[in-house]
Amino acid sequence: MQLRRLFLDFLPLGSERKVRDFLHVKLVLSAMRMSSGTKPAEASLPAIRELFDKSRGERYGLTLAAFEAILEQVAEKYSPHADQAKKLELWQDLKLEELALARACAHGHEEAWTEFLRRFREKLYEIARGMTKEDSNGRELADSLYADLYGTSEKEGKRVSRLNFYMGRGSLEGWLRTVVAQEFVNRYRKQKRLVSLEEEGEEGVQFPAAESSFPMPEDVRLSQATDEALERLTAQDRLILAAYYLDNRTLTEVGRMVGVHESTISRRLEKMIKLLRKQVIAGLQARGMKHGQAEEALEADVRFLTVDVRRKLQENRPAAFQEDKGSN
Amino acid sequence: MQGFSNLLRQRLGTSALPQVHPEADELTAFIEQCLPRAERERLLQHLSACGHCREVVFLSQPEIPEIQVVGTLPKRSFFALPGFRWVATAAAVAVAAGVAIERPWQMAPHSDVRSSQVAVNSSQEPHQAAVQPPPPSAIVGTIAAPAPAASGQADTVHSVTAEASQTRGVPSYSRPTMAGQGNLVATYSGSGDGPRRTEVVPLQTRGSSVLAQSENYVNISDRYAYVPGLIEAQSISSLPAAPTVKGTDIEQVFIRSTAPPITFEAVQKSASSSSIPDTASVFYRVPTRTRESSRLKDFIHFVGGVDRIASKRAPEGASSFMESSARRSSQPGVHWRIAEGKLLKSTDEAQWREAYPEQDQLNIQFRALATATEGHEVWAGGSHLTLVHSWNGGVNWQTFNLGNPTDGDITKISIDGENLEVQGSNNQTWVSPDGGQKWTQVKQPN
Repeated sequence: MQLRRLFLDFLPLGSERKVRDFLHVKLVLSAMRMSSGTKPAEASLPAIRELFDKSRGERYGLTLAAFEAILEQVAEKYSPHADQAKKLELWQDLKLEELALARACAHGHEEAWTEFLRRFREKLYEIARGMTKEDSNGRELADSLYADLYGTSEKEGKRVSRLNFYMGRGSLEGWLRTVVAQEFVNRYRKQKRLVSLEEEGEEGVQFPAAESSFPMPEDVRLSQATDEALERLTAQDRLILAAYYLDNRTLTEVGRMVGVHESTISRRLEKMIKLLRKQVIAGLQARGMKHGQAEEALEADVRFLTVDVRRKLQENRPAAFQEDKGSN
Repeated sequence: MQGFSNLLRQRLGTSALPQVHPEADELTAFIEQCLPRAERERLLQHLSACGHCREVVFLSQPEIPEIQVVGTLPKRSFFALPGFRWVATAAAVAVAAGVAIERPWQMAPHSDVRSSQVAVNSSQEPHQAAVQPPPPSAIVGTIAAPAPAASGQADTVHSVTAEASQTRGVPSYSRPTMAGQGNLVATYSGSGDGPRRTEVVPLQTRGSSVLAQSENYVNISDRYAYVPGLIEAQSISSLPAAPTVKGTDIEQVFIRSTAPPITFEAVQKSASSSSIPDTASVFYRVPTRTRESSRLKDFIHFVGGVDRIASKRAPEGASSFMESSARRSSQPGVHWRIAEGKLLKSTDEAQWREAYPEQDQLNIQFRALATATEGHEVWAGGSHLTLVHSWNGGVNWQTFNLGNPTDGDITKISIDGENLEVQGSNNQTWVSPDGGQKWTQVKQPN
């Protein structure tokens, strides 16, 4: 059995049970193939047939009916009340070949797994290594993900492969990258919670004083006016602000995140800050402050906010960040 | 102002964290810019409030290839020359120096034959025999993520004018220059007292093409288009007869020229010269989902001088050129050879492995091989008149049977752009004018 050998070579020690499960799923798949031959006639809609041909799913043992069921699942998820024309529009934009490959893997198709491993095995290790910045951790991260992709958990007696959640909206490699990133961020957060007080003490971490000991003289009007101004921003602009100020991303990093050039981000940030400042001052004036007082309120609060901001930033940052950008 | 920044930090940090997070599938589509506008907007809303997902999105970005500065800027700068801006803009045109413009995606006869040889019972490596005429050149600049599949149809004639950049907002880039071999260097000036630093856009030579890994350096807004060294134009506006093509609608830019080959030296020379050839071809991929259809249309834009970009209909082949350019934009070259009837591939020419997965199943003994685009395009043929094709460096394969399996073997394959010619051992010949979609037998067996 080529696939059995493939997995025994590939999976971590003690994974023979997974292979047995896998072979069981192959039987299920065979049964599925046999039964799907009697699907209703609508499965042969020319447009779907065209998409099926494009996906080359036949190569991985997918039938037209099974493929149609996958497409319907995608439509149900992302466009639940759409008519057939809208669905077709959605389907045409999918990465059909990779969707077929992923689903065939999820169903345990031998050739699909061979192809998947050929294309992504090393790539996945590279991605994980790139995130962990360390070889053994990267390998461990990738291995744990492979177990998920293969499907080690069971639901109603069936193996659940994470590849079943790939819907083909982006590339399969991109999806794998995102899944690794999610796993990495989740692990980091778990590990962060598990760091003992002793460890922190040994590392010389200074524990913050109790919250109540910080003076918080923030004028509630200032918060309200600022929140109001922030709410007026577009979602993209708020994302840019959050990435830049909260996550301490560089202009290039923010630019990549939203798909524009860093110089555009720089210009946009500059404009945004000016506009926000103007709006906050106007908001404070509307709340009874004079212009001079409003200006003063913005500056006066800095001394206290510095402390508060630092603490806040520590709370929700899930990963190592770059040098802080002047919060002092 | 510092105080205000801190205030913003504080208020942004107080927003409630969302309890439900988007799935990997949606985040991937967001990163690859495949999401429809409404969904993208919803996801932006989420990301603006969710540090967790922002972190995931950040980590999920494909890594930027390492940049290595080779050489230094030339001592004598042409920045100070009078009319520098115009010259700078013209340099974009000069990227495609001496281009024949009419149908740039169709090569002159035999001009794109990267490797075409018979490999009868031979273990000779393709590159060893690849004494080829100088290939045509292409520069491919990719903006954002690969776009969805194109329809390949553009049935409208458009005219677009791009005025040359006279002024530039801050921050700005200096006119990029060539430094060493393979890098464009530009100095970035931050606004006000902001940082001033040098950026390097690596250019990679890949056989017939020069690839600008410029996705992180390309700035196209609704009024401004700038690809270092390639495009510099402001106020992209359309003539009355044509629909507006906004910079923000453009998902990908491809620039291509035919002969003569573009060399780094040629670009540098052209940049400081006033006699700049005024022809090049620029492909813009413009999604038209905001208009009548969700499908894409491709536009071909001919640079018609320093200050004009006139676009005409995108003929057949433009779409596939863009597709293949996008596909290979981030991949290294692939080497191929046939040994003992097996089709082997390697990325480093040190380790070779069998490349065609169904060889044993179909019982093929390979005898002929032809590659193009640095090995990303490969055709191989052999026994039973079986021809196999991969357009992405051996990831996916198509298999063709050109005739009755008992009629012999394939012994020679030639590639000339989209034109393919295959010869059989019984003196048969098949041709395909469209990259292998349709085949015609032009010579019957003896």
